[in-house]
Amino acid sequence: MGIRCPQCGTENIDGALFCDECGAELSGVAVPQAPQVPKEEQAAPQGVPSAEVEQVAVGKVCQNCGHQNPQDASFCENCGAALPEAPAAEVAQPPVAPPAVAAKLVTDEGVEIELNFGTKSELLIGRADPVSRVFPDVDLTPHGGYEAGVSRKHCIIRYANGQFTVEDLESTNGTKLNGKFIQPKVPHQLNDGDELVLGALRLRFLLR
Amino acid sequence: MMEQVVKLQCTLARDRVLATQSPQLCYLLIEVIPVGAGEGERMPLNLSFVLDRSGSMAGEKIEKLREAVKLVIEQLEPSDIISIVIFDDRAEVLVPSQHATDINGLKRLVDRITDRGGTEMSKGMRLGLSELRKNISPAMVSRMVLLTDGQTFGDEDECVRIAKECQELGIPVVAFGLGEDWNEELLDEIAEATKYSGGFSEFISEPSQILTHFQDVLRSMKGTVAKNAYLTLRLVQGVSPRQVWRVLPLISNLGYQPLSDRDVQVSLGDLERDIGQAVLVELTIPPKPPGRYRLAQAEVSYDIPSKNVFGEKMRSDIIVEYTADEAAAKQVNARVMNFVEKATAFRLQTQALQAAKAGDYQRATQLLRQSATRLLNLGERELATVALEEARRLEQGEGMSSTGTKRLRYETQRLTRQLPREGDERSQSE
Repeated sequence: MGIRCPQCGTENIDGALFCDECGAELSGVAVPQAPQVPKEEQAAPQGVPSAEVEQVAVGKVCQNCGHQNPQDASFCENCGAALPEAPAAEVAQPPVAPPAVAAKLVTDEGVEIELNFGTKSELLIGRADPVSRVFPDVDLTPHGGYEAGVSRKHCIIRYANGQFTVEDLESTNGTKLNGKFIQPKVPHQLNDGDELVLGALRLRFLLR
Repeated sequence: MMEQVVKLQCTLARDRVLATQSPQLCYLLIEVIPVGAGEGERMPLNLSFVLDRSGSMAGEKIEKLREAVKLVIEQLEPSDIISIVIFDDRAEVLVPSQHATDINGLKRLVDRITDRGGTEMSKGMRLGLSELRKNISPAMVSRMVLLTDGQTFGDEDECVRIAKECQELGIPVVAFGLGEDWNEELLDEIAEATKYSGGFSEFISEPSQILTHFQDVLRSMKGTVAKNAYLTLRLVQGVSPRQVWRVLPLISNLGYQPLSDRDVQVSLGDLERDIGQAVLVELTIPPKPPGRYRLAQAEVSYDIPSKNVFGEKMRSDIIVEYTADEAAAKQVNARVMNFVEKATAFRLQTQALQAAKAGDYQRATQLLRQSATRLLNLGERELATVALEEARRLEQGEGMSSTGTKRLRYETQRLTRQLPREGDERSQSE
């Protein structure tokens, strides 16, 4: 029987989750009785990842051409490839819509710290210190900020023009974005899922 | 609670499969994780650093290296054994195999490491191995930690031979390449030779990261609670193995030794507390009428020398239900799926680099793009971008970049487990 890969046409053994040849996801394609798309009708093999790969919104995205189809479609409106019956079971997908001004930081322990912008366009991240009267918008003391070497005024997270940025405020132990120290006093683009390390405190930046 | 030291957990990607007329593939995740026990007392370590001090290490590289080695020394206890070998085109034993009692004395010796000369790595490895041998014991956790920033000249085969000797003695070699200009194939071969005991190779792009990597090795050694672990799969008739991947702590293609027609065995080596190892097995299973069937029995054996336990065994049955219910057969366990996807990204990347090396740039480009698709889907944007950039370079005849190649090669093996964050020895702020 086998599963024909919708991307490269290779015949895979039933049950395969990814194509042996090109690695395309097959988990949703495993419908033994489903009519197979003749190879000629397929678009040229397309390995180029596109934004659609990530942004699975409502409806079904064709694995062959990336076309967005209605939820009840069985075949792609664009190229005719068979569509998966159900979206691949709970594979972690990045959140869908571009964010309203709502984001959070998540610690390694899974504690979520809301980034509540309210009417502000920027939030000071650091460690509250009544002695020097520094009271950041986001106080990391309860999350081990002191032990991890978070500075009182460590960094700023801004939201402007639909984009989040992070700027290190010349903190003592620095700020890492996805494993690299960022240059202080320069805003760096912050994307959903990015890892921030303030001193030694690791946080994941997530949109909501 | 005391007996239950190692947890064996088997999970199928689909625990219900379609009762078809043809064979099908099934994915089995086997996790072997020491839990709970062994806190308080850890096994003593037998650690040998084999360090490149050739001329190219001058400056920041050698400074950060000294710093990283000293930080490891500070965290050793008198029951631990350390030796340090430094090599250029000669090799010398800087610290002969000894208990870590005189921490300050040891650190002063490390300060004497200065750069000079060329690179002949096998001489260093040979001395490192002989230092490790002096105190070798099944009750100790041993490692050779090798660091080089350059090409060794003409003694590659000897390096691999020594690595094989290490494997025979159950000593994993952790081979670090620092910077841009070192021989990946050689370090990979060294790691490959000791992969069954837990050896691996790794890319350190910046000298400042040496410390993080050394800390990780130390943490992993200190967390080791069980040794000499083996996984045996006894398959029922008609079931055959297709592929065996290690997916934790690092991704690698393990291969397996067929013990007989229906038994396969995989050597796992050391098991680290709470992390353990996870192995992903692809099995081809025969068609069957609806009903519940046993596909295999997994057995893990291991030693816990500190408790005088040797050859302890645990078993688990792998049961699948064949069903005519198509909807039920579509359910895929998300966790297993995630491991399968990461192993797939790793495989595509490996094949891409092989194709590029063989001069098949078109295939390499295609594979790089396909691996980027998987990486993007996994949320690994940065690595996906690297893969796409390398694909673009190949397409435009620029050839792959050294950094890009190394990042793809070594970061994809860490897809399932990121390097833990840096040590606790951070200075206080402001």
